[in-house]
Amino acid sequence: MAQIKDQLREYLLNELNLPLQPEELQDDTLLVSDRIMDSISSLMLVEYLEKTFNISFEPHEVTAENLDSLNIIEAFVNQKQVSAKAA
Amino acid sequence: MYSFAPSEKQQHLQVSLAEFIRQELVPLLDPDAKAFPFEAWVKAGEQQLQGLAIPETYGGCGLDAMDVFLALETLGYHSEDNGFNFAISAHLLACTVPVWLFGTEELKAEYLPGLSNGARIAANAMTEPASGSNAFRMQTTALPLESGGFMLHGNKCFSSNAPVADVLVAYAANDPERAHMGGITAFLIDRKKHSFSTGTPLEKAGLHACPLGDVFFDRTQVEAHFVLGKMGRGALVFNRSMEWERSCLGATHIGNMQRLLDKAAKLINNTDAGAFGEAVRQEIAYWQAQLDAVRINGYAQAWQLSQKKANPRGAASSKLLISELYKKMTVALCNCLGEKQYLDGDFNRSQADALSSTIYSGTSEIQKQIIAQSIGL
Ligand SMILES: Cc1cc2nc3c(=O)[nH]c(=O)nc-3n(C[C@H](O)[C@H](O)[C@H](O)COP(=O)(O)OP(=O)(O)OC[C@H]3O[C@@H](n4cnc5c(N)ncnc54)[C@H](O)[C@@H]3O)c2cc1C
Repeated sequence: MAQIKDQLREYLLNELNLPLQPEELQDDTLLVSDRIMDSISSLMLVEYLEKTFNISFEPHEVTAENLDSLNIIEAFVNQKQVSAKAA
Repeated sequence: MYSFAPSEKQQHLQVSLAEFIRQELVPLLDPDAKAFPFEAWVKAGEQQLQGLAIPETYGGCGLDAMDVFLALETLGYHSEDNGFNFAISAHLLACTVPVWLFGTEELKAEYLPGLSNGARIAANAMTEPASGSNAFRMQTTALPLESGGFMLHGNKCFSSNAPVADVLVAYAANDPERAHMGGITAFLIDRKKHSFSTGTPLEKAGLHACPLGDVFFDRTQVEAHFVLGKMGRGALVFNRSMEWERSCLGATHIGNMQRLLDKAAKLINNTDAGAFGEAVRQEIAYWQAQLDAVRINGYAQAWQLSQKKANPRGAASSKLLISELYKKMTVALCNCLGEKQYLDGDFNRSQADALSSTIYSGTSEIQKQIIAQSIGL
């Protein structure tokens, strides 16, 4: 479980270069609402999530609400993976 | 880290490209002409200048961003036709690169060879009469159709190469409310397959070889496989293309500035500089120092891009520093050389051509905004 968040943390800090110190990126830090992550970075994150976790966002799922914190993103990825297996 | 010393391969690239530009391209260019130089465009295609960054499998040169920068710097130095250099760079960086990065295999196989070898001319259609800096607040719509395709409707403006373009990379809102966050889609539009029209070239201050004009979509039907990336992800396509343009287009300006400084040195050495000679020498030396600094910054950013590291701040800084220096230096050189430059059209033309460099690919204020955001400001 922690694996998804670890990978995400690495991506957000080292690839997207979000303006945060590692210790400031908590599981519930609000990325979009607190304007840490802009919309372009959000779209880059969507592409990263699709590739890394083999999931696919529907157009209506590309929203700030689904990407706002490590907890939220992890839950979204898990839910997508479960529904992909069930299908 | 990039070593800053050009490798043997890079030196060879610069030398052979310089020879091609001087001997084969320049004779076909007239920097004072106000028409698109079709013959020179086709000639440039023989060396795939329009596809410098495109892999060889798709008919390009297969250079990474660092080598693209060096190649465009060479073009900027040896070709005095800054408008032609701009037409090539805009086509390559804002159109051909996003087709390569986001097109389907089918689309790439069909379009990249012609976009690289001079058979096709492309234009980027983003800006609209009511949306420039706030580009994603566009009014042109892309209505999703039941067939899976889209219907585009609306007007674009200030599109470089548009009046002569065969292909457009165009952006339209599939969901205007959502703007960049899922509401913009990027398309490849082909004049032979899709109905759109373009306006006559606008009268402008410089860059005469690169016609600038409007694009009109009137219920234009576009099939789904012409989408670049995915529906709603057009902001990503645009930003990637701007990252390339901001990182590499300024290389032509660097080449242009070095050419002017070299000419200035010759002019001063060959004439009696008079009582102000030392002051002028000092001023030229200071511009050279500033150029060396922004050039190294440009190399560092192009190198970053070649390492496939997203670095919006680096791209914005490189673009900001080069274009601001370009505009200031071209004015200052005309001033400090007095009547000596007046007889050489290159100084005057470059001054007019440099005017728009702080506007296209995002104005200087927009670059500062990107930099501020990257440091949490
Ligand atoms: C030679 C040339 C070639 C071009 N080629 C193309 C092309 O190929 N394709 C294309 O789509 N477009 C092209 N453009 C258009 C160009 O991208 C726009 O002109 C540019 O984005 C600015 O938009 P605008 O002109 O509407 O100015 P505006 O956005 O109206 O800006 C006016 C002024 O307000 C400032 N400003 C705006 N917003 C802010 C802000 N938030 N904070 C601080 N200041 C702000 C700007 O910096 C500027 O100084 C080209 C333009 C030129 C001059």
